Amino acid sequence: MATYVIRRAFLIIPTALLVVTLVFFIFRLVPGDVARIVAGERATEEEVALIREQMGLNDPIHVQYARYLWGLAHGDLGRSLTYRRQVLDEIISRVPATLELALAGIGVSVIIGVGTGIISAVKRNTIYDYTSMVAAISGVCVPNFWLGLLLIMIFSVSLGWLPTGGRGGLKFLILPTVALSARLIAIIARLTRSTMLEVISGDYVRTARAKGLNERVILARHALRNAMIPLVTIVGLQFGSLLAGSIVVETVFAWPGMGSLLINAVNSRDYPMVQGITLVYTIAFMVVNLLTDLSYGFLDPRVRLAEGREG
Amino acid sequence: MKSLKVTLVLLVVALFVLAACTVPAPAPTEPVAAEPPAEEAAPVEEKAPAEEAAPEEEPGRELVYAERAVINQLDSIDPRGYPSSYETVYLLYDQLVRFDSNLQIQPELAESWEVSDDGLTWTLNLRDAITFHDGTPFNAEAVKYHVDRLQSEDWASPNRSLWDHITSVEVVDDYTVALSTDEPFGPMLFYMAHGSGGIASPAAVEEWGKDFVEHPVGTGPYKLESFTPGVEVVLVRNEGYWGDRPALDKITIKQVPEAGARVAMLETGEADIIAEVPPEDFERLKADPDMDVIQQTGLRTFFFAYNFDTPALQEVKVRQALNHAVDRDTLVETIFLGLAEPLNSATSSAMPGHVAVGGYEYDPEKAKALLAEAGWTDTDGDGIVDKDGEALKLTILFSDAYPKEQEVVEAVQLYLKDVGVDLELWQTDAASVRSYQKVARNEAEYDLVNWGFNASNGDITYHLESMWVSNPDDAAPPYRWNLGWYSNPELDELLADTKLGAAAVDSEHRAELLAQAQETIWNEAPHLWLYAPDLLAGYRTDVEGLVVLPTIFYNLRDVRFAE
Repeated sequence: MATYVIRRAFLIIPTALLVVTLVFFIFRLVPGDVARIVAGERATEEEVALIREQMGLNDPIHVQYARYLWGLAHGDLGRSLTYRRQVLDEIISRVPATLELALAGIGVSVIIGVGTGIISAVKRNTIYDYTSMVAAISGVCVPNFWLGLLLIMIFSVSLGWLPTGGRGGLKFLILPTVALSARLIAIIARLTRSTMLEVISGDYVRTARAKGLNERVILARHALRNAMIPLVTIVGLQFGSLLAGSIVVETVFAWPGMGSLLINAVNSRDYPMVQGITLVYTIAFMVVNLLTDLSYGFLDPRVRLAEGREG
Repeated sequence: MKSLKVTLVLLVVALFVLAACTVPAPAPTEPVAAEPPAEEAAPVEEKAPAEEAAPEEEPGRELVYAERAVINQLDSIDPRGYPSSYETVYLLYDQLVRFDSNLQIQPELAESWEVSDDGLTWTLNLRDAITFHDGTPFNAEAVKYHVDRLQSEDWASPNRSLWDHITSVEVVDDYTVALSTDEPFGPMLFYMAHGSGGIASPAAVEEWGKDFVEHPVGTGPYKLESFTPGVEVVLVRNEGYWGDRPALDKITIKQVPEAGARVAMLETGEADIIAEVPPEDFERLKADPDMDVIQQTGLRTFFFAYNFDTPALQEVKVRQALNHAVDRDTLVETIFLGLAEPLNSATSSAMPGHVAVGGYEYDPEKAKALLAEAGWTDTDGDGIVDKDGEALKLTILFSDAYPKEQEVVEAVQLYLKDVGVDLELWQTDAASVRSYQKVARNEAEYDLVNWGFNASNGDITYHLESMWVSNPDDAAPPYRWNLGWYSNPELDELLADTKLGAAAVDSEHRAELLAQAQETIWNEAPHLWLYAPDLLAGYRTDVEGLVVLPTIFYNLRDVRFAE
């Protein structure tokens, strides 16, 4: 088991490196001269050339790449081209905000998604079921920025219950979380419903019922635990989609996280910043997937035993 | 079973109850109540050097300004984050002279000034007894230090070209400084009134070096409390300010890129002032008793530049024909809901020195006639005019940098189709469009290019020169903004005369020359003239003293809450 974890953890490095390299080269190929953007509209050609020189952009591309990798090996993600700060410092300052939003998003998605899915499964083909599944389809189809603005219009402007944006206490978190999790709630609800339906009609549930167990215990202990595996898989995979969604949601709600930092960096062609943030997202996604895979061992004894036999 | 369902329902209800309980009354606009600033998002980082926030006995009057642009750096010689960074710089620094809302020059750090008889030296008499936020004194040395920094290669300020006409700065005494030029420089004061003229504390610059961009120190009415680049800037009152006591305890400038979110913030009262109100929201906000919108004619003008290397466009009749083909008034009415000015000159009416040349009324028949005179007629009946077997097909380069840019380009495409001109659209994104515009002469791939130009020092010569003075070098990108490579040597001389030399300092003569220049440019039609959008600033009605300059920047220096 330990070797498995270590092996997987090490795999993160080459993958992250590949992603960073891709971003590095794509950015250099895309039109948009960062020296000109930094120099501003009023700069003359000499000024732009000077700034380009100062930024080290005149060096051949493999030199720039090598310089970047060397810095990376030392934990130096470079200096932002638009702010004067170290990329790493800026990212670290934004991580708590994105983490808060992402965790809230996953938490709410799982709680509401699983809950809705269970109710739909148990009350199959009733009004609960139909309403939930229609809502689920809408959740997947509705674009999150539109939903975000709609929520602002209703809950902030018309009703005045919640703030329009920014970060602070709990009430600032609610609308961004709803906008972010709508899609994942929908996916989880549908998945939970179908998995539960499958599981409920399984042999061991019939046995449990025959044993005379309370229906609630059957659901929670037997049915749900078996439904967890596909659920955990999907959540792990959808985490990437959640991160992508958080970029848009952060912009709409002026949430000071990594997503809004990334958008600004892309628009101003701040290469080091974009590379740094992409690296962080990549690592985060891979860690989540690793945790997902590891969790199978806890959830499903069959996996644990198979590992044991191998090792 | 039932209890599981109940548990879930209770959980959801609990979430809503929690939300409802933690919502205080929204707008902090009650003048008397000492309300804790619960609405403001907590600053993620405090990066100001050890400065105490002024201890408040009276209730705080705090203002929130929500704007669009990312503020990255606050050094006055190079504020990054146009235009909001300049607006912040206005609050942190004082300038030698300043524009008022009519773009007239007013004294500020310079109380008075004289020009020498030969027009080469401007002697400024500075106010005394002023200190920077860090306690060091403001004096002539500080002015010299600032101009030197603007001109230095090491600091590489992109505003250097606005200051390099100054050949020497002499410290006559502690409060007198003399600026000299090689030739009499007419718009000297306008250039000094640019945002980069905010005088910074030499001591602070020495202390922070290049990090000064995050630790700005000026003499302005407000000083920096905290700066989270890309998120918000928090300013507090400068208690030692030399002028009238600044009215606000605190100003929070928040970056809110989404226009809909900004409008929502104004409506809920979370923001007291917002920037760039979309035209669609103008009527609604104006009609609301709690809010209002300032509508100010802007200096920024929009047009398509003709590429003079495209054979068809070298004929002035063709250029003029296309100008007659577009109905500017309808375009402004429909796309901007009337909140823009159709151009009647190369500059907008808000520009000092503007002359309404007029002409180019919407007349598709006249357009077709002019095209025919230039040899373009539809000989093969395909709806597109042609000449010598070649159809008139033009490509226009544009992006999404400006509001409604795509709608405008598509509208013009339809108008041109009506007179038989085929306009092909080439759209890139805002960050890359410059790299297609700023190329050497033979690399320009567009026939027309759309963008907006704003002379942020309010100087008409600067506006006209930037776009219509000949580019000096074909092998290099356009020197400033002459993207069509238009060249008229007589115009070059005319414009130089409005800036340098004896004529420039004589305002009547200068006005004559400028009128002549505008007429020439208008009639030669190096551009397809379009519109100048109004600047729309939203504010809550208990806010007074907001000034929107035609140069786009909002001036919050005199903002206060009504009693």
